[in-house]
This record gives sequence, C-alpha cells and structure tokens, in this order.
Amino acid sequence: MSIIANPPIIAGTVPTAATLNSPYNLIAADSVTDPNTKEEWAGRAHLNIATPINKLFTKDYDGTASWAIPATTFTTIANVSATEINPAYTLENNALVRVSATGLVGAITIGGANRDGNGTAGQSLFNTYAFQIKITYNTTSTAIIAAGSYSLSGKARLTFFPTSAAVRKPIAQRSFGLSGCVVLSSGDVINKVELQAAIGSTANAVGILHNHLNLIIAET
Amino acid sequence: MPFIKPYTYVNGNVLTNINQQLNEEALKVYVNQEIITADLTANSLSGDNLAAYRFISPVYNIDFTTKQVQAKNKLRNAIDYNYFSSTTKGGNMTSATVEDFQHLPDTAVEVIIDPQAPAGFAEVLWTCYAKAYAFDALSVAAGAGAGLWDNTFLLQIENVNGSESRYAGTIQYVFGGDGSSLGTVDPDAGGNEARHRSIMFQRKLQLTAGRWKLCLVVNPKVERANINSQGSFVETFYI
Repeated sequence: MSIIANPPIIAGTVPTAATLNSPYNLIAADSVTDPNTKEEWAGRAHLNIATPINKLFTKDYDGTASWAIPATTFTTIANVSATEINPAYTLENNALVRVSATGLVGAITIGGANRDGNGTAGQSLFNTYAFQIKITYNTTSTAIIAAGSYSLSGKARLTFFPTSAAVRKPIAQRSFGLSGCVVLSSGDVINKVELQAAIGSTANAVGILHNHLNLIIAET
Repeated sequence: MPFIKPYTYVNGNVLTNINQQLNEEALKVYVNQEIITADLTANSLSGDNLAAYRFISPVYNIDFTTKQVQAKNKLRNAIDYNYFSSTTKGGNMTSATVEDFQHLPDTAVEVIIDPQAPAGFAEVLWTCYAKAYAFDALSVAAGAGAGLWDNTFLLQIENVNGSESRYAGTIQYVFGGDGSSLGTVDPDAGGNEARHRSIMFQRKLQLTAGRWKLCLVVNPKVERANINSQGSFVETFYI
C-alpha cells in the first residue's frame, strides 16, 4: 500500500466526517506493497495455497515389469506407460526448473565376446548404458537437463582387453540416479519432461525396473 | 482488500468512545501486519518480501516459507555405519521367504505435517543416498549369480499410531554370502561388484497432518552387513 495520510485534527475545530473517514477509506481501498512493509515480512499464512510457488509433478512406476533399452539413441522409458510428465504449465515468472530421476536396473546381458568393448575407439561405448532427462518447452524447444552413464560390468569403458579376454559378468540389480536444473523465463510453457535411456550396443540388453521422475518448478 | 472500517463517521452524530476504539483496534491489527492472503493483490510479492528461512539445528530442520526440509546428512562422517544381520531370524536365518525388516536409524527422518496444510495433507519428496556393504561369511568364498543372498531395502513410513507401510517401488539390494541362497534375484557379477552397492532413490508421498517417520528398512539374509547413509532428507511442499 502507498503512504496513508493522516489529516490533522486541529484543537478547537470540529473535525468533519470526511476528515475522520479519510485514513480508513484509503487503507480499505489500497493494497499491501513495498513502501511501508519490512523486508521478509510475508510468512506462509500470507500466501495463497491454491497457487503455490513450488509446483511438484511426479511420475512413478512401482511395478515389476522390465523395460528393455531398445536402441543406441535415447528412448523414453515405458514399463507400462511412458515415464514422462506433461504439466502443460505456463510460467508466471522466471523459474528454476529442477528435475531428478531414480530407479533400479534389473537384468543385464552382454551379448558375446567383445560386446563389452575391446578398448578401440569404435567400441568405446559398448560397455555402457545411459540416462537423460529431456524437457520440451514452448512446443518445439528441447533441452537435456541431466545425463549420466553407467558401465554394464566392472570393466572400465576404455580399458584395453584383447579380443580373447573373457567378458566380465555384468553388475545387475543396481540403482541409478540423476538430477539437474534449468532456468526458464516468464511466459515459457513446459510441455513435457521425459526420462530416457540408451544402450551402447544393441547386442547387449539392459532391463529397467521401477523408476521415478520428478519435476519441481520454483517460480521467483 | 478486506480491511473493513468498523465505524463510519457521520457529520452531526456524536462519536462514542466505543466506535472510535473499534476503528483504532481494527487499524492496529492491520498495520501490525496481521495480513492475510486476501489483503494482497495477485503477484504483488517478490522474494524480498518472503520471510527468511529458520535453521533448527538440533533436529536438522530448515523451515522455509515455501517448504520444509528435514534432513540427516553425514557426508563428512564416512565411517559411521548401521549394521544389520540375519541372525535375528533365529532358525529361519537361511529362509528365502521369511521376512524381518529391520530399521536403519541413520536413514530415518521425522516429518511433521502442519495441520494447516491445504486439504489436510502435504506432498513430500524423500531423497536417500547410502552405501551398503555385505560381508561374506568368513569360511567360504563369494561366488556369482543367483545364489548370492539378496538383502532387500525398502522405504518404510510409520505414523504415531503405529501403522507401517512399505513401498515396493523403492526396492534396492546389496548381495553377499556363499552362493547357496534360494533367492531368485540375480546380481550377476559376484564379489566386490555385488557386495558394494550405492543406493539412491527419491519417492513422492502424500502425508496427512501429523508426525511421520520415513526410513530405510532391510530384510537381511547375510550374517553381517552395514549401510552408511550419506544423506537422507525430506522436502515438504506447502506453498
């Protein structure tokens, strides 16, 4: 609210109703703004719970179905339905958009000799699988907010192994997790957030079990 | 704006002390910032207006205006472990099906949902990072494959009334033993690759008003194992 004037009451002069009503009417007609409030005055009770500052969207798959990573290009995980969030949310202000995902990797199969890579450049991705979180906003714009890759076995990705070396057994039934954030602008529309996975060689197989995707929009 | 003047002055009417007091009391309440949502026009607040957070150190809580964070973090306490053991199962120690879920207190976080929470509940996001290690039995070498013992971790929530529930969608494992388990969960690689496991997950929950405990529980199948909780925290979103 702006500064509210308090009309002077002069001794010996009967104040008019207008004079007495004035400060109260000004307050009733105005709104709270910075000029006469302290910093950090607003608590939880002052904020509208119907339109919260933090928006939390999640997609959880809690079941036991396994989803096999199908390709060397990133594909949205879909055990039963796609692990994606479609908030269709228009930002009222600039916003910090935070995403995270976790899950459990199930069975892993390495498809034969050298399918975990022999250390040469052409095979450097063979012993890997990877995850990313992709955001689509303003209908056509996309960004990769978070990414991470894992080895199928305990063998390092670029360790040289002769072709005759035995393939090491993969590390199955392990967890994965990734997180990241991006700043978007007032008016941007968040259309979709997806948890995606890719595999370094389609001769190998990686199954994804339960997985969880979170989107938190914190508007400024 | 809902400030309502209790008494309107009228020319020619005698002003009573009661009427004047009503107006001054209403104004005092208002200007002392007992302000409610409806006093503000839409989008009139900025970050400068929001109350600063409170850090409640004895219970590792941070209370922001927009949310609360209840946490236990031990990133700098790398050798502090919770141990667990299947010997608590007595004669059923080698059973593949008998369950004895044990609390892992280092992962436990108490969450208090404000009774003023909208619709009587709040959405919370639980994040847990931990490192688990299963010791092999001393007299036998660890093998590989489905014969290893699968020690199962799950998120468990409890309230003050004693109700407990576990979330299947949070299952994680650490493996160990001598390769004679009847369990079907196959870690494939054995040895260190099976008995050292990083555990990380997040799960959203809707909790009603009251006090809740969220923690990892484990159904152990090896004689000795431990977990080092690197971080366990719950974010409660109110606004």
